[in-house]
Amino acid sequence: MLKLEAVSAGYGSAQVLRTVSFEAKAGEILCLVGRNGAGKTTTMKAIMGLLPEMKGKVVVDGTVLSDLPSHKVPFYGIGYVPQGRRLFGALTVAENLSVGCLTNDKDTTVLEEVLRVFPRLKERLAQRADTLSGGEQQMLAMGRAMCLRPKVLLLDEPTEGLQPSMVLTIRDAADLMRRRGVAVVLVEQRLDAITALADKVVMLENGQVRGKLSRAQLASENDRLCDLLGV
Amino acid sequence: MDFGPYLMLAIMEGALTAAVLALTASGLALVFGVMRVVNVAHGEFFMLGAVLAWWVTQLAGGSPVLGFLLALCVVPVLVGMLAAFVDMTILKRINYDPERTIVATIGILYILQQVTLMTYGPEARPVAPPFNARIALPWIDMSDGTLRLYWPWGLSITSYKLFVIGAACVVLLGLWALMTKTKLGLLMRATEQDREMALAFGIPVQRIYAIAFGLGAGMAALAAVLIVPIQQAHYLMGGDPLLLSFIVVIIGGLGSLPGAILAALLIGLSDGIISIFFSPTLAKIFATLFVAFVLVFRPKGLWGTGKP
Ligand SMILES: Nc1ncnc2c1ncn2[C@@H]1O[C@H](COP(=O)(O)OP(=O)(O)OP(=O)(O)O)[C@@H](O)[C@H]1O
Ligand SMILES: [Mg+2]
Repeated sequence: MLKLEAVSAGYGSAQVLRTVSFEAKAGEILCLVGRNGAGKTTTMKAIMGLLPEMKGKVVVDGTVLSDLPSHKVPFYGIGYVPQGRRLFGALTVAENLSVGCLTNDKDTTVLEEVLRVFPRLKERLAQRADTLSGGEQQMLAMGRAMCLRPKVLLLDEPTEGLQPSMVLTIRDAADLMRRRGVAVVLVEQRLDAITALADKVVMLENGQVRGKLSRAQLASENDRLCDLLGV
Repeated sequence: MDFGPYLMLAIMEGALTAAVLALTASGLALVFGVMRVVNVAHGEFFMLGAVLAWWVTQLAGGSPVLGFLLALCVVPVLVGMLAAFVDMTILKRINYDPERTIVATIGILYILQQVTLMTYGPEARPVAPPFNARIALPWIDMSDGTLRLYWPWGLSITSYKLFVIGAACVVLLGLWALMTKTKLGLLMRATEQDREMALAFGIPVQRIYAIAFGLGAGMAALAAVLIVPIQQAHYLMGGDPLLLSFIVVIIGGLGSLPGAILAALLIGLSDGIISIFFSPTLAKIFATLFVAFVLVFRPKGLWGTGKP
C-alpha cells in the first residue's frame, strides 16, 4: 500500500533522513519507533510531501506521491494526524471536520461515521477547536483525518499526554482503521502500545532504519526495542 | 451652529472616513491574516483604484451614473487581478519571507506610482459623483421644555456620502459572509491557522494566497472608487490610506478582520470629530499617539486575543 524507497530528506541545509525504506501493507499497523530526534516526524512530513528537499520515492498504490505538489497528496487517501494535533484552532469542530472532508466532498456519510466513532465530538460541533480538552482535541485530529476515508493513516504520537481511558479510545480507533483495511503508520514511544498493536516495527536511529521486526519477532527482540526506546 | 448639530456634522464626516478606512484596512488585515505578510504597496492599489475609476468614467463618456457604476464593477476586479498576478510572479518567488516581502512590496509601490505618473500624469483629477443631492438633517430643540424638530443651518450631508457609508456596510457584511459562510472563506481561515496542515488536507495554499492578495487589493480599490468623487484621483494619494490602514490594523490586532473594522470606526470617528472641532493635523497626531500607546500597552491590539 504505502512504500518508501530510499527516502532522504531534511530541512534546508540540515539533512535528517538517510535512505529510509519500508513498506506498510493494507490492514496492518506499522509502528515507527526511535528516540527523540530520530526523525519519526520528519518521515511523516516526507510522506506528506511537506519537506523542501527530498530524494527517493514515496509510492501509494502505484502512484508516486513524491512527484506531486504537497496539496495533491491527501487526494490519494493519505490521512495525517500530526504530532501536537495541529488543529485549526480558531475554527469550530464542524469546520475542522469539513476541512478533513475537502478531498471527497461528494461523500455524505463519512461525517456521520466519524461522529459515531467519536460521539463526544458530536456534542461539540459548534465549539472552537482550541477550547476543547486535550483528549477531545486528539479525537478531533483523528476524526479530521478519518474524514478523507484514508487508505493510509499516519499517526504521530497520538496518545502523547493523554489519560489512560483516552489512550484506549484512540488505540481502538487505530485498530478500527486497521480492521477496515487501512495501512496505519503509528509513531509510538510506549512499549505496551507497541506490543499490543504493532504488526511490524521499524526502528529509526539518526534518520536511518536500524532494523525491522515482524510481530513474531517482537517477544524475542524485546531487549533491542527497550534499548532503542531507552526504557 | 449649536454644539449638538455641530457634533452631529462631525460624526457624519467621521462616519464617512471610517467607512472608507474600514474597507481599505480590512483588505490589509485580510492579507496579513491569511498570508502573514505586510503589503506595503496596499496604498498604491488604492491609488490605482481611484486613477482607473477616472479612466473608466472618461471612457464611458457623458453619463456620470453609468461611468461610476462601470468603475464600481470593473475597477476592483482589475486591481485584484493585477495584485494576484503580482503575488504569483513576485511574492511566490521569494517564498513569502516576511522581510523580503516588505522590500519587494516597497519596490512594487514605486513601480505602480511611477508608471501612474508616466501615464496618467501629475494632475489631480475629479470624478463626477453619480448623484449629489444635499440632504438637510433635523435636530431636536429642547430649550423651552418641549421637544421640537428643526433644521439648523449648515447641518446637512450629501446623498452621495450617505451612499458611500451604506455601500461600505454592505461590502463589509459581504466580506464577513464570504469569510464565515462560504467554502472559500473556510479555506482561507484554515490556511491562516496552519499553512502546513492546510496543505496536508488538500488546500491549494498557493492559489488561496493569490486569491487573498487579490481580494485585499480589490477592497482597497473599491474604497478608492467610492471616495474618488469626493477626493480626486492623484498619483500620490496612496500614502495616507496606507498609513491609516496600518494604524487601524495594529490597533485592531494584526490580521483580525472584526478588530480592523472596529478600529476603523474608532479612528475614523475621532478623525472626523477632531478635524472639525480642532484641526486635521491634530487628528493625525492623535491617531499616531494612540497607536503608540496601543503598541506599548496592548501590543496584540485593543481586541487582540492570542496570536502574535
Ligand atoms: N523545521 C526544522 N528545521 C530544522 N531542523 C528540524 C526541523 N524539524 C526537525 N528538525 C530536526 O530534525 C531532527 C528529527 O526531528 P523529528 O521531529 O523528525 O524527530 P522525532 O523522531 O519526531 O522526535 P520526537 O520523538 O521528539 O518527536 C531533529 O534533529 C530536529 O532537530
Ligand atoms: Mg516527532
